[in-house]
Amino acid sequence: MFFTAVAHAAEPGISVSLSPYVLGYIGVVPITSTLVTAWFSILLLFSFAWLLRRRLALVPGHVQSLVEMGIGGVYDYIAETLGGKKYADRYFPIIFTIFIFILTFNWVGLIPGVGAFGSYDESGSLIPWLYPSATDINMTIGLAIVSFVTIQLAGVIGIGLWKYIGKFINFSSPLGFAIGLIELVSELARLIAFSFRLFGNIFAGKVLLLVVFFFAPYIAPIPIYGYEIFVGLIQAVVFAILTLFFIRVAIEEPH
Amino acid sequence: MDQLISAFGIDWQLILLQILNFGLLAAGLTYLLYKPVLRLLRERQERIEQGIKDAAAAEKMKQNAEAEKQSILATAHTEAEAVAARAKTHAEERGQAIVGEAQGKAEQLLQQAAAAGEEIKARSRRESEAEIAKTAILAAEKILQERASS
Repeated sequence: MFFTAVAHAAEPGISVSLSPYVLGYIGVVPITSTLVTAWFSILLLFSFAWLLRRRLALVPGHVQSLVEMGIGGVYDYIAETLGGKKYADRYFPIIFTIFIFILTFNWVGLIPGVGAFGSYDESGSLIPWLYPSATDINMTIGLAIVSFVTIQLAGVIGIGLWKYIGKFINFSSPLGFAIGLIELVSELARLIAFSFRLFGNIFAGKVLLLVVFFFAPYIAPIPIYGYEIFVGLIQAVVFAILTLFFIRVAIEEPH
Repeated sequence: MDQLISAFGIDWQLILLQILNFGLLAAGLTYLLYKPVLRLLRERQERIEQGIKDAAAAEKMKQNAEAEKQSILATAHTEAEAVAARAKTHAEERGQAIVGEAQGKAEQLLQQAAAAGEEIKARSRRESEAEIAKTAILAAEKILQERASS
């Protein structure tokens, strides 16, 4: 809370930007604070995975038990939902990574100090080094594309290319054609729904926290923090679960 | 549209970078975490299943061993009874034979003793008769000597 106050002391009022903060460029590629946060989250996850892997034992400790319960539980749930371990082996890594990645960068974004440390640009505005990744639409669109491509590939692999295309382009009857078109539009709309749902929730949470910090910096942010931790978890679950269920719909034979 | 893209700061390079990030993370976690943990879970499940199978097999073996033990005990009991019966019969037969033999020997000894007694008796008589004859001869000689001297 202290660092947040210092950071915002340089700016009059609340400053909110829809576009990500650019820290610099590597060649022509912009390096944003949300991208750095994503890298930091990846580093955290890799470190945790590496440490856990070194200590894996047939008789598990507390941490290993929790991880086993999470991974084993999700794997079984995916196998049950998709109708077999064959599908779980194929899609579990993507679905679970979506969940754990979103959860990690959402929670990393809530660590006090994130968004407070940074450097000032020429206009005197703070450019934070770290910033919640999901407040960057590029991140959520990226994940939405991953999810979208996974769903389409699952459909093609699951029931075959022509049958899958036949779900959307159907000349058997005028009604079938119309339904196919609606399916196609709703399929494409998922890209927008996926990306903007996550972006909107986390961005709104960040704005809410900024507003509360600005008007009532003591005590009041605590329940908001609790709520945002919950929102971070829920959004991760929703993104992963929706991907799973759309995969299930995609691999079902057309009626 | 351009305004929207500009307002949100949408950049295809960043989108691509985020997709690459995700790909890298998914590949890394699959190698470092998912595969080892799922392998471990499978191994543990196999071990548990094997343990349950082994326990069932051991229980079955225990029951078989118990049945075999009872069977062996029953057979041994029967055989022991038969052996005991045979031994008893044999002992009775042997006892009777020994007693019979002893009786035979005793009778034989009695007969020998009776014969020896008869022999002794005859010899005594013969010796007595010889003694008496000798004594009578001596008495006759004495009488004859006395008559001759008188």
